[in-house]
Amino acid sequence: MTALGRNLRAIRARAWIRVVAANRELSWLLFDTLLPALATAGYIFVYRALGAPAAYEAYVVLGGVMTAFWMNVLWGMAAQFFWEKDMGNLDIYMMAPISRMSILLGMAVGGMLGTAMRSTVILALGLVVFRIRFEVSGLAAAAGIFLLSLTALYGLGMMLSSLFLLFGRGAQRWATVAQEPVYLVSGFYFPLRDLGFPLAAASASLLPLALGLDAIRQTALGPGTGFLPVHVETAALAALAALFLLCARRTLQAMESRAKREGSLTLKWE
Amino acid sequence: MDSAIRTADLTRTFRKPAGRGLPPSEFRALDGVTLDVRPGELFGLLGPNGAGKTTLIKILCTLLYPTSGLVEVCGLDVVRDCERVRERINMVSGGEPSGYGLLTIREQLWVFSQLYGLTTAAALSRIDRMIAQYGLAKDAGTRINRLSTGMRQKMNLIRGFMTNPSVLFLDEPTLGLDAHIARHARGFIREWMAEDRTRTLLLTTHYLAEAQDLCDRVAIIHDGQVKACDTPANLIAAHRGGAVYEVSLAGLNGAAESLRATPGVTVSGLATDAARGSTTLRFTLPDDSALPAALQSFCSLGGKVLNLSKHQVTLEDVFVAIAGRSLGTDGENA
Amino acid sequence: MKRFAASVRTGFALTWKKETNWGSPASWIPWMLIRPVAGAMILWLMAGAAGNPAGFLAPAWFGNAAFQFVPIALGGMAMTVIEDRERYQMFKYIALSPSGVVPYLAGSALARSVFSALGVTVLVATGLFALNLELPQVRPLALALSGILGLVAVTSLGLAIAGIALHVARHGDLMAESIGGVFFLLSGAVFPIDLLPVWVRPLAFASPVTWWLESLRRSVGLSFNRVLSPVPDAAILGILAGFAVLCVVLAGVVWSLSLRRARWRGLLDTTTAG
Repeated sequence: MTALGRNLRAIRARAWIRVVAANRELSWLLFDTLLPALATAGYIFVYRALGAPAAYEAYVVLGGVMTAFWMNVLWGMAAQFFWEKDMGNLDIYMMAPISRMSILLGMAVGGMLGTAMRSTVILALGLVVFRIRFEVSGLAAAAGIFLLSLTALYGLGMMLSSLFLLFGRGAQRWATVAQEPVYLVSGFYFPLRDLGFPLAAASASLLPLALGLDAIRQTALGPGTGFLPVHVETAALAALAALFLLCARRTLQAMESRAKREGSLTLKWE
Repeated sequence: MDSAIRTADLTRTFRKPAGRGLPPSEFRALDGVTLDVRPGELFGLLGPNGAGKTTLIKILCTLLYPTSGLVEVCGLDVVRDCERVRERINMVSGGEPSGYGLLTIREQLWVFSQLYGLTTAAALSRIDRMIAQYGLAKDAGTRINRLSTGMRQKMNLIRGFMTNPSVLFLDEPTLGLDAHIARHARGFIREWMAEDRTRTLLLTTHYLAEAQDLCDRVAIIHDGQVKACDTPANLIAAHRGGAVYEVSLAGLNGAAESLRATPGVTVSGLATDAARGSTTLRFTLPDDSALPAALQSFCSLGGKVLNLSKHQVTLEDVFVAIAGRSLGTDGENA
Repeated sequence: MKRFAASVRTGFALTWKKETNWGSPASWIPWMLIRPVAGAMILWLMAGAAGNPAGFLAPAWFGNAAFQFVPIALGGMAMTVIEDRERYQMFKYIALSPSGVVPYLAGSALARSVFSALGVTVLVATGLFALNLELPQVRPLALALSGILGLVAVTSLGLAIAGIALHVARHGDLMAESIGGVFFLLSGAVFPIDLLPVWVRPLAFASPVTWWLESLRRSVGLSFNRVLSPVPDAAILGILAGFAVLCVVLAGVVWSLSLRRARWRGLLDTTTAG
């Protein structure tokens, strides 16, 4: 079996665990799908209370959709090495003849079931209950930008997973701490440019979510409140995707080496 | 390939960070370990908890870097060629849960087979055969979180065996298992080794009977150092302790202390029977001429000898002579 | 009683350690401040994006500040159950200890509440001194009474949810966020419940958090929900007290039934990774 074949099998197997486990414990449908969708609805009502234009409600829906992917990347993938360590599985993955990125990719692909469901529910809520309208002509471009954003986002997640590999619980605490700040600087519930240029630019340079969401909003809802022109944002996203994927491989190797030197790779119950 | 596993002057230290009022310090888990395990060998690492066995296994499995020294598996350096080493090895730990609670035994094993690139058909056929062979056929569809410790460990052993590694590491494979299941597990290990004479197996244990029963050669490891390495028979034959005796005494407290104080005597076992009010001591003498002095040590305390017998030297006696202490677990896992 | 207190102390100390990343101040100070402030900043930016209409920001800001307690009180104990069961695998030992699980969970909830209280304080101070938001008429007694009754109600609901968590897989660790989200929608934390569709409003009225936030707002002279304006202050407080009693009873029943059933199903030491 070639290394490629082995890695493809590993991706499939790790994804399969997620799908099977999700089907056997359906409580995630409530806690991970329906209830977060209701929280998104809360932000739509905030704009209604403020008497804001309908476009702002659409911002919230698209932000809610992207939140689902961010949660999958952060908790379903990046943090997973930390969980696997405590479950006694990390040793098994680490001594198997496969790339660590395959395992991470498997987790991400498997988690897509839940993520797709969560984002679909949020989208459906927006379309059916809140009667939000998107520009059909921009949907194809929006879908393309969305895929590019996901590539960059998952690259970022893989980089983050190397931090979880090395810092374990410390990384988990920081990721928890950073949850709302990431929502804030990504402009999940308001136009990115409202952050002011310096903060928006910093956020756009680091978080593919911010750029992707802003570009998707411009293509699916029409221009007007975008931070940068769509073509600039798309190019920046492509660059971020390449950079993150490249760096992810490097950082994973570096952090694994450091963890092996320090003896923290298999240290449990931090 | 001359050696399946080779280490030379292997050292591993861990840094302990500064504590409250304490400066940072270093702990040496392995200290100049030199080993040579031949292909086809079932090699045992025998030592008490904290001796450095698991640290050594982790280094050999590419999970931990050595601080210094040479470490090779299948002729490949475990640091430089770690990816090629991983294609040739597998490892099973005892006493630690692993896996995904919501998957069944069969599913769990299939998942792990995929990490080694087995085709689904080949994996499932191998898994089904081994599940049946190890008595898990009727539980193949049971979820992992509902398995007993013994069943879980059988599954773990299959996980290690099924990928057909050139070198398999078993870290305390019978830890926490009852005597019956432990005997079964040892049987599986023997069968797996017998199937292919090129397979190499390194097993760590603190159960002396297990090492004596299974291993072609044994290294006694203590305080991170290899104290002795040979076949169990040669280690016993080379034991210079001389004669091993077992004595039963009626109602005598302090007999062990008195015996320990006798020059040349090493006490390797102590058992008390509260119901009968007796104490049984196992001890080693340099030669038979020291026996009167040993007997005198507790007779002078007023003790009554119920029984006295001379025994064959065992690996336990060898271990006591080398490490200066007993493992004290031999009987637990027989 | 001594045993009970020791168990509460243990729950508090362990949760405190976990939440502060085993005592590292570099980790817990941002945790205390950044999360709630960032969340409130989102609200502030949303209001700014819509032109900051009069009468919105003060009740929304302070409602959001008080709401910081809700996800933690509701989901915190459930998180403790899942983390101790799946990750540390210690839950079974707590369950078989003579004082049982409840005091341990109470200690855990108390530790998390301290963190929430720090966040609430920062948000209230930011609202008052940085954003110059006004509290027109503060009635300390009513404020204290509302605060206590509301906390009793939501913490009791939290125990009931912890009982449900005994039967939920490990992805339930998102329970705090998820359940908090529902109450965020239904309780008018940051928007008046008048905006909810008529058919959803009964759910809002059935939520103790709605009455808690309304009572808190009124005790500082703020109003938000027109639909509740005909109800006098004393009646709001009375309804809140009724909810507090109801929640305590409900929590007792749900928790003991859930624990019994979990014992029967052998779930106290299960793991459900995927």
